[in-house]
Amino acid sequence: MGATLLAAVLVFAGVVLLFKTVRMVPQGYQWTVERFGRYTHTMDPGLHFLIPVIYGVGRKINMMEQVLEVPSQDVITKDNAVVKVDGIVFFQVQDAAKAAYEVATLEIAILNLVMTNIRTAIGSMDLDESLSKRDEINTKVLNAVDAATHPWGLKVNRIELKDIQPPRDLVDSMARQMKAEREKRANILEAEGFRQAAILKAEGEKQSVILEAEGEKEAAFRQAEARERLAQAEAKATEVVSNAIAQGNVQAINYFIAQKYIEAFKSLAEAPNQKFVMMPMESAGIIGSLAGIGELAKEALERQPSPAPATPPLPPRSGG
Amino acid sequence: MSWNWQTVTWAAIALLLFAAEAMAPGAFMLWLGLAAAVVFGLVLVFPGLTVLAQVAAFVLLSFVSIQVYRTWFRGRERQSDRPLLNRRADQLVGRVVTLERGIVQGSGRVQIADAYWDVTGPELPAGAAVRVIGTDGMTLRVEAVT
Repeated sequence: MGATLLAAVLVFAGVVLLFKTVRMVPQGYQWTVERFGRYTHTMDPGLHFLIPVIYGVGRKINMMEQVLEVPSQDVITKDNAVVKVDGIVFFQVQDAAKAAYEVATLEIAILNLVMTNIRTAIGSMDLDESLSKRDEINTKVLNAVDAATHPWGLKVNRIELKDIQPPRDLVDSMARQMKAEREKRANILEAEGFRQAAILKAEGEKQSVILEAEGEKEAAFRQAEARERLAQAEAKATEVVSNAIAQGNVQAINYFIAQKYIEAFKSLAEAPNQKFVMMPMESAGIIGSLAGIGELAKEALERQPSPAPATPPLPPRSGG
Repeated sequence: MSWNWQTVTWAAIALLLFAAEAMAPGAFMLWLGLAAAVVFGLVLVFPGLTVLAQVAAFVLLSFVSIQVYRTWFRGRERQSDRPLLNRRADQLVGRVVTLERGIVQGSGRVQIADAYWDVTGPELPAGAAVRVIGTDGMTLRVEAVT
């Protein structure tokens, strides 16, 4: 009976001691080791054997990067607007011993540091700035907190402001301001458009008037040129005719004229609706031309006696 | 060879401890299991052992098994292929970065990813390229890139 009890106690003590001896540190953690309560060294992940009773595990430090939510807080900007700000912190323990013993409550310490630094950063800016320059705030806070947490063996990798919320009425007035700004822009653009259109229209009209004038000018030039050419041609024709007359005989001209005259009368006579017949303005013309023919005849008769030439018929009288 | 209750019990204990270790790896059941297996062998060979002696042998052997492992098998463990896990500063060794703040009085600053690191090294102006050659706790040791 006594032996059995002793055996049971022995097993219990053995198991407990063994449990204290063999320590397995999981990856991502480091455990500090204390010898009678005093820090001696740090155990890396893996299997470790400690002499029980003398050595013991102190703190189990998480060496992975951790995320802390910075709770929402009211912050006053430089221009006295109260905004609600929350954020997020990424940090990683680099030195397990320092994180274990240099600071009592690591997370609370970090959070308080971050919160006060956010207040400082935003307090030195006015509202518009703090809304638009988040990167700057993040960097400022990160630098301050990173430097401050060095003694605790921490590396603060990032600090991000998640949300900066101005009060409701401020948001409303900001929205109104933006709307007004856009409307102003729209109105200005519209007016600009009208102005542009009017200018373009006027330009077009001006251009068309100019083009028209130019066209007329060009046409006038061309017409003048044409008249000039016509006059030249007529002069030339006259010259040729007068040369011909000078070299030849005036009677040739007379013959031509008479022929034309008779042809004209013939076409008059053949016209389908002859209500009246146009007579030459001066009847003397006809007589003259007849006289010309007479001259022709006379000369011809003088040169060679022959029967009298047929006189051209008198122009037909109008029936009306 | 006598298959009495004692031998069966030790065999069962050994197997149960191995199973427990497999279910919840904590490494210390393993030594107990090994010790139980050895005691099972002892009981087979020397059937006359008292229960107290058996238990004492069991406790003693579990510590002996640890010692045996530490002495003979420790060096043969397979090493991690990622020895720098969770050691951010050491992972940066070999990186070439530009100084964000020049090194004055032996200390300057660089930005790697989002974080800023203090560096020590030769006097260099800001904007110079440096190579990380080692770590000093949370400070990086750098040299000028030539």
